[in-house]
Amino acid sequence: MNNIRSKILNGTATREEKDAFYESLQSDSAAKKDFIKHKMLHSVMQASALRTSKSHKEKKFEQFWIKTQKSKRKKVLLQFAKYAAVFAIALVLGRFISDNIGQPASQQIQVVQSQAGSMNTFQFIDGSKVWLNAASEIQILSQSSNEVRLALNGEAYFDILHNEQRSFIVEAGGLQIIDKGTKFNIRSYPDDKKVTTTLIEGDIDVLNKQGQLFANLNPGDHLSYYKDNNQLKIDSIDASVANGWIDGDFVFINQELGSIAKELENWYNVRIIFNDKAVANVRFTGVFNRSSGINQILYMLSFSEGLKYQINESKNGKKEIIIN
Amino acid sequence: MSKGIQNKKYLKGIRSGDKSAFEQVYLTYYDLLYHLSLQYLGEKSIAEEVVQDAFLKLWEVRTELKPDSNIKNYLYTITKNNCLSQLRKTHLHKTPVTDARFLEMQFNYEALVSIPDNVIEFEELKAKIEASIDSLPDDLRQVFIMNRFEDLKYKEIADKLNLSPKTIEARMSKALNRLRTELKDYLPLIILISSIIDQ
Repeated sequence: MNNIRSKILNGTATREEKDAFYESLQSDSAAKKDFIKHKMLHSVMQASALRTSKSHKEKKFEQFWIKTQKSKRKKVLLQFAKYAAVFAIALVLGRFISDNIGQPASQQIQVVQSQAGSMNTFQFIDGSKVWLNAASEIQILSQSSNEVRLALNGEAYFDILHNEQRSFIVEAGGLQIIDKGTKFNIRSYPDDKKVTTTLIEGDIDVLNKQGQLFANLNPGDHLSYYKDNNQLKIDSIDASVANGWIDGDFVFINQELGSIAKELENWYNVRIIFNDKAVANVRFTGVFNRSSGINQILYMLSFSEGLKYQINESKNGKKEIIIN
Repeated sequence: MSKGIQNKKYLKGIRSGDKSAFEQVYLTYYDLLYHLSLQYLGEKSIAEEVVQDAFLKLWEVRTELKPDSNIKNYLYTITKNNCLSQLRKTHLHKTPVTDARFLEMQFNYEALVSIPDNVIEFEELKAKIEASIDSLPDDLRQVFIMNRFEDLKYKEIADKLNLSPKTIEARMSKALNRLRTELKDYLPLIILISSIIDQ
């Protein structure tokens, strides 16, 4: 009887042992009272005596601290619509036009790329701005006085000045997104299963490759286009969240780990391998600051999802992360 | 006495939301709150959530803290109450709960309710328990403490004390037997504490 009681208090009793024990106490009210007192005293001693490692506590503290800062930051993000800062690198576009007048169109394709681990911004002559996320690329397919046509591979945020005379079109993953004086975000990495676009302000039309109207978005709408089955889904989203990456955050909303891993690979210039493919399908929601080290992010992912990982330095100096 | 001074030292930093003050308070009180929760909730992840919750509540009220506020007590009572509501939640679980599991929750609930309401009384109780362990003869007490409270296995204790594991085993069973013959359970403190509480 003592042995069982120790097991119950230490948490090492099996389900069957527990069930039998608790049931036996039901009929004996003195024994029941006694056990409850015993449990209480035992817990006082355990709570006072047991310790966790300092490093574990420090990590938990960091998680706590992030939460306190997030509750502060939410207020800042909600004002995003009034975002007015201008950090633009003037696009060569202006010079490009004057240098290339008269040349065949096929040779006029200008490409702006961002590197892994960085973000680029550029600005059109009229003041329209584009922010390009890590490992993303924009091709300027054509530019004329009444139309600007870009192709996007990756993720970018557009802040386009409304101009009645000029259409502004972005091609991404088989969709055409026509802006009408707007702020919107498009995400279309080749390995993603879907193309997404979020409208912050203004109005955009989304057409398919053939030019047929798929949808017209209102502010706050978030459109997902699934490439494999040509399905469209529109939900409402807190647009400030979709644009967390501009403020320096990674924002994952119910995103598969495989796709998160790709973003991390791009930003941190590392390689991530999944030993167990099923793990890549686990979904995760979270916000991380981009200034966090890869170790910190991996720790937090592993902590909340119970993943195990290993970091190796490979021959060319690039870090390799193996997730089990 | 020094703890009271410490409380004041961090109070200022806590009120102004200072990270290092919060970190010190967090590292100081985490173990108590976490292990208390774990004793009653049984699952690490839920216990961890409860602890984070307590500190987040502290964060929320930080500017309202007064010079005589007892931070430890605040965290303790929030944690205790949160654990009680977590236990009540299992009662409302959608999937049918077996009678035995319900009983387990009930026992845990009653035990937790009977734990001191404030952290000062908690500490007093703990001191009383420690005093009664101290009343065990040296060799038995040493082994008992290492096994029960430092969570060392017999082999580890043997290594530490430079004795053979068989000796440790013998001492442990002597300590337990002594307690068992003197009392109904292996913790003699029960009787001692019961008599103090019942007075």
